[in-house]
Amino acid sequence: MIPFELTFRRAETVDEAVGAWVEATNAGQTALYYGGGTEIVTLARDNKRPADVLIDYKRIPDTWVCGIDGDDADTWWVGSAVRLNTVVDTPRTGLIACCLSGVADRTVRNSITLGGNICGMLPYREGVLPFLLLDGTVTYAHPVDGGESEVATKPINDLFHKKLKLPKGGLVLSFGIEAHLLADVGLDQAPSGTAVPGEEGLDHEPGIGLHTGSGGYSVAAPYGPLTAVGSGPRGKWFYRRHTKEPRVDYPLVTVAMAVVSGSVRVAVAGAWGYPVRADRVEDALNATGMDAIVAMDETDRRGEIKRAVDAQEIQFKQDMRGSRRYRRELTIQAIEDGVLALTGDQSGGTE
Amino acid sequence: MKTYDGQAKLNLTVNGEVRTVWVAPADTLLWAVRNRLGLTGSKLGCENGDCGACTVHVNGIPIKSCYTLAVDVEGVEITTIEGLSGSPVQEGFRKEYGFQCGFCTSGFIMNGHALLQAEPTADVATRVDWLQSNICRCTGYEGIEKAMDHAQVLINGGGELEE
Repeated sequence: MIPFELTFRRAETVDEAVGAWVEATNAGQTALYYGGGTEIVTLARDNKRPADVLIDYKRIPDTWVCGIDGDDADTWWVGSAVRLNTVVDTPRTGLIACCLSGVADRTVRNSITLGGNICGMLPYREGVLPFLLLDGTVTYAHPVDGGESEVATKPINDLFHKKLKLPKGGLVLSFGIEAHLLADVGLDQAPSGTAVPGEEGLDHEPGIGLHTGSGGYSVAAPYGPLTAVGSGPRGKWFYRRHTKEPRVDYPLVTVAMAVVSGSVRVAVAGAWGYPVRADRVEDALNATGMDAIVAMDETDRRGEIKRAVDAQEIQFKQDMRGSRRYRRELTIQAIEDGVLALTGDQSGGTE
Repeated sequence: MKTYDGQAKLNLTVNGEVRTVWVAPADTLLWAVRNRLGLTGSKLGCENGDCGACTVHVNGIPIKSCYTLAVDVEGVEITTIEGLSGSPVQEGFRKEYGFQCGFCTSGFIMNGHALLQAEPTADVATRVDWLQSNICRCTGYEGIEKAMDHAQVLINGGGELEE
């Protein structure tokens, strides 16, 4: 039971939602935008997320989009009210589906919205990784003087620092990625679970790794790290997620990597406690060159990856799931495996 | 904009019937079906979205009712375990002893039923993906696996299985 009373308001338009937030705030109340409720309700139950007013934004049409919008064929959109499984079960969403399929369990993902995952209090926010990695955009509404609302679209890498930093009363409407990247990098290809070149024992057993289901694909690995790769005509992507024991858990490390226009990009969640577009890791890897790193012997290569990871200069997270040292080693391993998978013909390709 | 404040009168469509209930906006769907409608098959387990004992269907999709507000599901079709009486998955659980203490059983049946409605020929990996949303504290997973096997045979035209 939630141990306090609250008001629930169901907005049908952006102006209604933002107006309700302004109204509540002016009355000295705490208002929260409400999507799936998974976090707000469970934290409210422990009195860790008190609120006077919940503003349900799921019926606002701007938050429903999933795919190419007719008005803007250049961008692939996902609305903030779209449930995670809607994307996971949408064929041809590759890396994006992988990043979302790692969140919680399947039934919970029927409730969690993308906006809730990225804007919630839990620090992992794995749903943001593909948007950070691919220089995505975020479209949001916020109140302006006079009680009106204004809609803006900005690069997500300008607004996301540990969490999405919006103006007060800001409501995320959707997230976007340049549509051509989906095909260029093979994000629209079904992923394949794969062994990393040079490593043995990482092959998923039949029926354990990523597999194609009727609606798209789902991840069914009760234990062990998940690895997936995909490729397109002008790039590749790599995904790795480590948990402590069972798959349904918060990540120790989740790494998403892509090669776009010949340069490698890296985004990481879990390792440093919050999602990071690891720009300094990218700079270090690109300065040396992916091919040069792969050509090194094993010891030199590992040293090169370690230097790249340490260049980010963020302290690794330490908690009951894993020590700093363990998370650092997992991150180094994942990025090394990613470099190998993204280079040459041994990535496993797509099915 | 619809606003729910104080005690709100809701018309919930549960197991095909429209039921009128009075709830506060902070009341969960689980609380409403158990305490207002007397449908106690959905269980209050972890109350944190982890165990799955409270699973119900909303428009055929399994959700955990312990973190779903009742006011959030007005106007949609809600199915509880009481609405799945005699379903193939229930029959599988009965025939294969897919339960021990039984507390988690309704959640497993709700989730298993939704899975086999969506994918009648779901492979083992897909079943694991769906059913790892539920926890059996008695660890009776082998019986649950057999129950799902049984249900799939029934659904896919295998007829009556041997005892």
